[in-house]
Amino acid sequence: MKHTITLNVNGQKYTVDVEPQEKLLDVLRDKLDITSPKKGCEMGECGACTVIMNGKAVNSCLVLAVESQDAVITTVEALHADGKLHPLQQAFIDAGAVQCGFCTPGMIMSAKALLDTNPTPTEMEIKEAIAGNFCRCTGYKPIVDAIQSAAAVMKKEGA
Amino acid sequence: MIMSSFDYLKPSSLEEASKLLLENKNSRILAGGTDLLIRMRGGEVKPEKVIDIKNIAGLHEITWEDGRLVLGAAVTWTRIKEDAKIAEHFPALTQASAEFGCYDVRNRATIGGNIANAAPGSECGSPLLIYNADVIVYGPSGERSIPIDQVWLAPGRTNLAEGEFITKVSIPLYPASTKSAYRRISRVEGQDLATCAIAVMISNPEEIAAREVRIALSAVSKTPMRAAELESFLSGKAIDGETINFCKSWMHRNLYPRASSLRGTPEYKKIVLGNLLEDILREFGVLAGELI
Repeated sequence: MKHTITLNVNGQKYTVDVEPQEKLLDVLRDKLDITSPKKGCEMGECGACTVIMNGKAVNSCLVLAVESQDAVITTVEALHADGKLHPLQQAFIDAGAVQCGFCTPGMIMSAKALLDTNPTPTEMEIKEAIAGNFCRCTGYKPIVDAIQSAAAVMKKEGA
Repeated sequence: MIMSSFDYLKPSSLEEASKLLLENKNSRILAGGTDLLIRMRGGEVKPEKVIDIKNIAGLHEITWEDGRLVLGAAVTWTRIKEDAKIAEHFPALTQASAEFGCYDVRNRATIGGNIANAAPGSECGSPLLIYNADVIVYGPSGERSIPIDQVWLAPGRTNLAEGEFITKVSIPLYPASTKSAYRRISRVEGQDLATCAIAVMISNPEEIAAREVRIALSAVSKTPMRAAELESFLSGKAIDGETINFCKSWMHRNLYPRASSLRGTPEYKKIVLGNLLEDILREFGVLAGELI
């Protein structure tokens, strides 16, 4: 039985018909053409599909699309503004935190969810926040560095 | 793999949810979904109806009433982890929440779901056992309360009757002098299931004769378990190196973890649990002298 759901993705309202077994990840990618969340393990282990749902980082492969009725979803697509990259995006580039890039959208959304609630995280807090995001290229250090420097930039910009 | 199809139902009352559960034999309750959706995707469970209980009022609440903490079944592990009052009164539960999954998973996974899954190494298992929690369920004959040590029967099997589902967990408060802790080990730091885990509570730590010790162990038997014999051995007595050595040998003589575990051999788990118990007692300041 199909359900019609309404959700807000990156500031835009969408109304879409979904089957109960469709995941939020499937709907974002296949129906709304929002392809930054990646399909990795589909078991909530790799974090490549991480999006921010109602302020919290979640694995969009572990959320049924029908559960996202009235939800506010943010993905990497919404981060840049006026042609300017978000400090997290810029920091990932500057620190060499992107290699193959497959984990990057999920990694950045986990980092954003962290910085939204904790603008000055410790290194351990950063590691905890990205514990569910696997990266097989970088060895994580450039990613942690990038999140730290983005936090510093955001603090400066906010001040 | 693509999930087999099912109907998604979203009741708004306990009565409605129980009725749906009773009417549809092949149905599953959905809370956080972090276990259920994986098992459905793997084809391990193929429910015809999925009953989402997150729309039922009251199941998301954390309340403190009549000397008890009451957690709604749909309370997420993130909320448990971030609750300062829970950390103050039930540190073992907070420590377990910090070990649970990862950020993304904790943001969805619920306390009720963790209990319902009845995993031998579930993060909630040992902490709820030492605190003597009650699990409140709702079903065709209304509400009833099940002591936590009677909830789990075997891996994936609970003591719930047809049409019943978990609505709340109720935990009694203890005097401020009570000490409690949860420790676990896993293969990697970060996102992994427990290789084994232990929770310990000591009432009246300062008055040796009045001391009551509670110990619960996870991932060493079919369900999380209390170590009653160890508890009575340690209660009301001074704890020194000799006592600790007895506890360690007790682990070797009385625990039978399955040999097929991917996460640790039986021998390893028994050694680790003895060491974790020693660590906790030392932290509590109740271990007199050095080990012999």
